[in-house]
Amino acid sequence: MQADCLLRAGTPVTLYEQDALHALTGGTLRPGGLVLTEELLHFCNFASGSTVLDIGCGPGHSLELMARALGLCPTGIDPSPAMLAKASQQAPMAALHQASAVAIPCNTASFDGVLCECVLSLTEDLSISLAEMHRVLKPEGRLILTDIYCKQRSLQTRLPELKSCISRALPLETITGALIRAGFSLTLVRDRSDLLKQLAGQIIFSYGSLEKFWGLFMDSDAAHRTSCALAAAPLGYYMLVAEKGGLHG
Amino acid sequence: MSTFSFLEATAWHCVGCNQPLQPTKMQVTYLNSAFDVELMACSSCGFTLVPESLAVGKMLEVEQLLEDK
Amino acid sequence: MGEGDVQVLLPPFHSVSLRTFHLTMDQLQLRELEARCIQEEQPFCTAACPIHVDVRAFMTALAKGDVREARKILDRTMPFPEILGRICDQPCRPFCKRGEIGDPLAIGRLEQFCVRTTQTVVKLPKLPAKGGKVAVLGAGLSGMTAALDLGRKGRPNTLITSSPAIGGSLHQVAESILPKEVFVQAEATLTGYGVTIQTGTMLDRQAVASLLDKYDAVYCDWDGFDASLLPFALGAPDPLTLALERDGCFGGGGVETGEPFSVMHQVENGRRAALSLERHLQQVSLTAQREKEGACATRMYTVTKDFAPAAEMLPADAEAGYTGEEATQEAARCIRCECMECVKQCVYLQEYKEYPKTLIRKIYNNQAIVQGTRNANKLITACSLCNQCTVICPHDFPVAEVCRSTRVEMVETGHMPPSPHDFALEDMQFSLGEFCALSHHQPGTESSTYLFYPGCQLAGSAPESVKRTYGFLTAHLQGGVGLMLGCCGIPAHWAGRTALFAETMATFKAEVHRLGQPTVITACSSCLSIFKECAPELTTTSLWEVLDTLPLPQGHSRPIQPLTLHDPCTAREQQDLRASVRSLCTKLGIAVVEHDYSGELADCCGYGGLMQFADKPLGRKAVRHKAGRSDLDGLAYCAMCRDNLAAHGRPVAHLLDYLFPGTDREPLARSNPGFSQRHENRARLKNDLLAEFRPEESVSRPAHTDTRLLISRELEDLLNSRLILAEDLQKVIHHAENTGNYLFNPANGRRLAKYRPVRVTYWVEYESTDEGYLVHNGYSHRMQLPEDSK
Repeated sequence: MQADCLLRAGTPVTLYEQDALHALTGGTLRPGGLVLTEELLHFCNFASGSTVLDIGCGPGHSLELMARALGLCPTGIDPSPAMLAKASQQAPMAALHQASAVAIPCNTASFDGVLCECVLSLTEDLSISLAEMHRVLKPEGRLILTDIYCKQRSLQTRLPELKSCISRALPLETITGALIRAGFSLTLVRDRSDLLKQLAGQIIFSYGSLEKFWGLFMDSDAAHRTSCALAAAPLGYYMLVAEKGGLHG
Repeated sequence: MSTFSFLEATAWHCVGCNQPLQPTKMQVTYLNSAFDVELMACSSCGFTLVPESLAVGKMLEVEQLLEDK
Repeated sequence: MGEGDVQVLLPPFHSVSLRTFHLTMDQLQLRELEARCIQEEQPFCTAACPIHVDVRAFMTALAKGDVREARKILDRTMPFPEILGRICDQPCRPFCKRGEIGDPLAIGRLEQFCVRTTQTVVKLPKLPAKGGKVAVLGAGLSGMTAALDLGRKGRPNTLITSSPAIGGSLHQVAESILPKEVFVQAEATLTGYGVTIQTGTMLDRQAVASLLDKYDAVYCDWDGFDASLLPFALGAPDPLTLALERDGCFGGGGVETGEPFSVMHQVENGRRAALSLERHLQQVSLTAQREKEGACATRMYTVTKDFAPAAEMLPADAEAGYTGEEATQEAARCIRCECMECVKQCVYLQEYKEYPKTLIRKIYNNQAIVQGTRNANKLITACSLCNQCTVICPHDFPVAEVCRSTRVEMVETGHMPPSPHDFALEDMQFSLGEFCALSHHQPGTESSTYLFYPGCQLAGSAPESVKRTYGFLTAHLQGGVGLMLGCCGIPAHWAGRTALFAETMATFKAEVHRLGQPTVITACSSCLSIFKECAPELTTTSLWEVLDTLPLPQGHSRPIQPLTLHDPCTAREQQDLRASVRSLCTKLGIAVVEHDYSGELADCCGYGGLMQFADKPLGRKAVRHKAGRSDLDGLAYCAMCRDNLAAHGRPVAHLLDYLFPGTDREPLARSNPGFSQRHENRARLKNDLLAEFRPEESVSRPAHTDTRLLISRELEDLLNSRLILAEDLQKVIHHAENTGNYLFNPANGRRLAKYRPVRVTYWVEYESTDEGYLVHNGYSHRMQLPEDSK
């Protein structure tokens, strides 16, 4: 999809497939980028050769990082064939499958770690996705989760219609509650909304304004509405590490 | 693939090194956040030009964004 | 060091989920404070109405000509609006505030107009049916109301009357007022809510006794049911619950002894009884939390003095009632009672569109965000902390206290952003630093009975006045008058920097002690207020009270025209100080004209609380607001007020200009010196005084202060508004010329240089000339460049 192709207002925009967003975040499309990924992987202290599943692996930058910098054995899943094609180029050593979190085509208890960055809010069913992640993890395996969350329940309905994590941001308590019910215990939960601001600041420097940035993906009216809605939206960004089993599970 | 640039043909040149300024990719930082930008700078001593329009415009905007204003 | 340092590494992780957070204000305190703000209290009419009709909203709708909307409001609370709206006896009317400035609103006539010209708009829902057999005996308006309310609550009931129709005494009202169709309408309404109507039912003692056995709960409407038919002694019904002697039996309505028949009384009792019956059926307390039922008190506070009196609009045709046009006009007389008294005077509350109750809730929510984005930081830093709202509020709502203690908390937890207060705090440090601070006994003495403390702003704004005042004090007071130049630390106090403020105050106290505990004479009411609060063990007084006890200085002058007096906000609590100022003015022969917002009610000029630094546009609105209290030229006795008002373009003099006139300038024409000049003035004042006190000493200013700058007036104003000092420009140029590192434009010979002393990078565009450095432009930013961390 060309970045300069204008979409009709109202058509959901698939954010993560846009080149512009890629270019901005150094190949990834997340606040914090690969630096955050690496810090979280370090925190989990996986032994060399550990198997790690990247859910929503996109063009494969995290896969490449895991293999090259940390000596892990990465597997990636993504629903988009275009992304998987890029990932096979970027991370040829990784096993790749076209799939989504609600039906992971992997054996039970086969991974030491699961990485799920800025993807959970995109999945169709939170409980099923978490149950799948729980299933494929070995006992005491670690789950790394980063995503947008919604700070005020009452304003949830005003989030803009973008096919991205933004429109389905949930309150943090909903997510942590679902994790515990799925059999995880929480090791680390931290707000990283500063990374959202950093991304917004970067967009301003690179595109002149947030509205101009949205204007790359939609017509100017929709761009204006989106940037107003986002300015008012109470969005935060969180990072989380959970363990299969443990105290709560 | 940025469509917005702070680069402009500039008459300023570096006196210390007796050189014109070159477009240079770099990071600017404030309150624990870093941003990739491209500005005119001296390739010898690194003196970076921040024009007034940038300082009181986008830079101030991002500074205030980070300060929660 | 801490704030402002860039940490390149991400903060370390800790394996704890959400850390607990101690809030300065807990939930209980929040509720107590919220309760002090009465803006959301019921207006007088609604409180006096036994069923709390939203009369204010009703009037607003009618004033707009929206009769349908007005009807909705009646539908929401009134049982049978088609009846009640026609014959309401207006118990609210005596309480209508409009009655203080004209006639109270013709509420009854407006209700009539509304129900005559509309049909029901809102149908309240019916809850699903619950169990219980309920009967209402007597179908007057009270019984009808009880039956309706119970039906809506999901209690199908039977309304029994011996009369041929429902209505009781209502049938005595003329048909021209209450047409027959309203009874048809009422019956249909009742039936729709599950009420079974039994008219023409013979009721004798036996029938009543068996009814009481058959039903779980019974309400007796005295207007239509004879109490002597009851099989038990009546007694007095409990006024709160309307309960009778026998369990499950309630009675109300009818006529109270000695009173005329009141329609609203019927409705009030019916509604009250319905709630009692419902609670009885649920087996819960009949009495708990029923204070707001029926007419009740309200804490609403409304000021009517600014409204022009207006008489009632009478309908041209009394029989037909109001026309649409007449109704609109009458309803428009409603003054829409609310409080908002503090907001009316405060530019800050208006700007952020808050009143104290909503403000405090917003601040609490902001502080409760442990980790994450806070959006109310500016709201918290923009308040001037002047306490005007607290004085105005009938319940002394402490907005300033909440804002300032929140700032303290923000500083302690690392959430205070740097830019609101940095400049003012650096200014304070400069005043406390080696170039400006001075502390000395009177020359030729070894002890001080008094200590003159002019304050940093007077020293910065009018150093000559400081010298002359000091000279006068030393000539007229016995026992030695010392002099101390510095800063009382109030900027740190306003910024929430507890540690910094404590340090400043401790140093001050130690120095006063070293000088022998003299009586401190302050020229500034801000200094005085902070010394009284934080150094109560010292004896402190104001310059004005001292001068008022002394003869007038020789050569004093006065203006020809009358002046309006501008009290500073920090003199709010200082009655004696303000009185002395006025006494001095009288002695000087200055014709002072007071305006309504002086003294206790004084506005802040924008400097208070560091408002003008935290929210520059708001600071401008504040000074404009203060200046706007009068059309006359002004007289101030606070240097900051004077300078801010002068910058706004209003001719304003300082009282010292008339007590100790200089030869060079007209007091009313003196402009705002600006921040750079203030620095210069303070440094020069110290140097001049040192030359007198300790001629052997002198303070050498750093090398960059010798850099000679040429700056146009417009550029000076621009730099001042950007909070860039002349000394900052000197530092940049000095650094550039010494290191040889700067940019050059051969086309016009100009140079562009930068320098980052602490946290801000300053840029200067200039050219070198024989007379000095001609400055063309100056700007700054906080964002750091790669070369800054080398």
